Amino acid sequence: MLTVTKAPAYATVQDAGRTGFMASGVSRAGAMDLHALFTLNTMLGNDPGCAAIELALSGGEIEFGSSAIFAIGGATTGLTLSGREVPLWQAHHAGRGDVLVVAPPRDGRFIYIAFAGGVDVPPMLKSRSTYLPAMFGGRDGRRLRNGDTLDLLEATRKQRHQVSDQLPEALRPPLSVTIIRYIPRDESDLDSEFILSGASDRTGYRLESASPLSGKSILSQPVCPGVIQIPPDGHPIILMADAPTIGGYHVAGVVISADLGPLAQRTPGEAIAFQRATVSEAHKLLASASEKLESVREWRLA
Amino acid sequence: MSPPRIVPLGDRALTLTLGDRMSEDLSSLVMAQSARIRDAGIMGVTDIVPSYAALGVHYDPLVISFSDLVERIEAAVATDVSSAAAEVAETAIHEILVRYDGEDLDDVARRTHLTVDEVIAIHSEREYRVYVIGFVPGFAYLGTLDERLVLPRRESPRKRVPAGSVAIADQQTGIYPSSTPGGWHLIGNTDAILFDQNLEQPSRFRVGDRVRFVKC
Repeated sequence: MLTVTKAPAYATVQDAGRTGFMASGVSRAGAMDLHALFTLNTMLGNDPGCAAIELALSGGEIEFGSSAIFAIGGATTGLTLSGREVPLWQAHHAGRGDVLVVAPPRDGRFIYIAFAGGVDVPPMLKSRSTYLPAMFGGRDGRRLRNGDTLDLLEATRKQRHQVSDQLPEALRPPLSVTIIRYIPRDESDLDSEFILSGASDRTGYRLESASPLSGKSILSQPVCPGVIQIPPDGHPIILMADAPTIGGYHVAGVVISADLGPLAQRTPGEAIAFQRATVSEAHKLLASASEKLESVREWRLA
Repeated sequence: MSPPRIVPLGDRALTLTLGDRMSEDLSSLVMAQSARIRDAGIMGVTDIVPSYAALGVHYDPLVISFSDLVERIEAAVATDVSSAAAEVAETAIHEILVRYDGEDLDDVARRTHLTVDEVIAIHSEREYRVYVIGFVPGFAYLGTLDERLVLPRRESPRKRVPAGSVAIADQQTGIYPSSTPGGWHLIGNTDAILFDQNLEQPSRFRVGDRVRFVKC
């Protein structure tokens, strides 16, 4: 068990997200940077999609009520465990009473704290992800607050003893990506440079550009995370993890899955450029991301 | 009706487009084609999402390739669209008890040049069809609203619309299943539960169902 002693400004429990309920209007939700979550879980010997704590905007503090193995990654930040500095992308042991302090994200936006076994909250519609727009999943469908306690699922005996070295950089998910690849849906010109707006959250990232595109409302049609919508004001909105299942704005294209995590890690004010890709290129990138996870698994066992 | 057209929606979904407007016939066709794709039991398909004139098929690209999926869908869907639309699956009829006391009821009456009683009578007279579920879990877009009640959405959406609000906008009516921002005109309230995440079928309504509002 652990206690959130200083809740980050924005922290929720997230896993790989929900599938199978989109016809009821239920979004995928899940980690904004899925590959970061998958990598940390794999490092710990968990299933890649195990639930972890996702935090953004500020740092936070957690006290361990029992011993646990954890690893932290995603955005770059500083960590101390009971006053001792510990590195990111490394499996650490925490004992009962240890206090983990996570500094605010430095480069990037979302930090993941994963635990051997995974965070134990009741699964809702087959996922432990918090879905804030409909207030269910995770910890009572809300952000973590001061004093919240979270149980961990039992780790295997082997997992409980496995601390690690720091994961080599080549095996970590890419973080500093400014060119975002997308599969076009029409001839919309996304060649100009965009600035990520402050009005961006888990549902959508808003972009601003010097010359607005031509956008419009349309008869609502199915959408998903990654969809680049152009509303009538001409400033694109990229739908993210909590994307609705249908949308009524013009769709210019869809960001490829491999670039959604790196996009999620961009912060307001940063420049973003787009580059066209094909479905088969996108699928090759997904296959190589899954091979990379396999290499993380081998690294762990080595 | 045009023949089905398949285009990628990114690298994990595709859209099957059957038309470009809201109509009962197109909605029936979307349902029929959704059912055929579902019944084909294609491995790797995770979600099938019907909307007005198109449906989304979400898939796991590590399980099935785009070209294989397109092939399987093309084999599954009916090419004879006029007969497909007739394959209407069994749908439910829901009666929803409404207290017509919404915050915008007087305003709606004024703007439509009707009395409040007339607004209520017109809204509760018709049986509506569920065209789409989305926006938030369990939110059903119901149509078609009587022409006399058609108003554009509010110019500035409310930051919070209470759960259970019965509302109208454009040619549609709907019920807010949870408290969310919203730009529709609120004409009433219901205690009906429209979404329950503890159920296997969490949304009370499904696309194609019929809904009747009963004044209480």
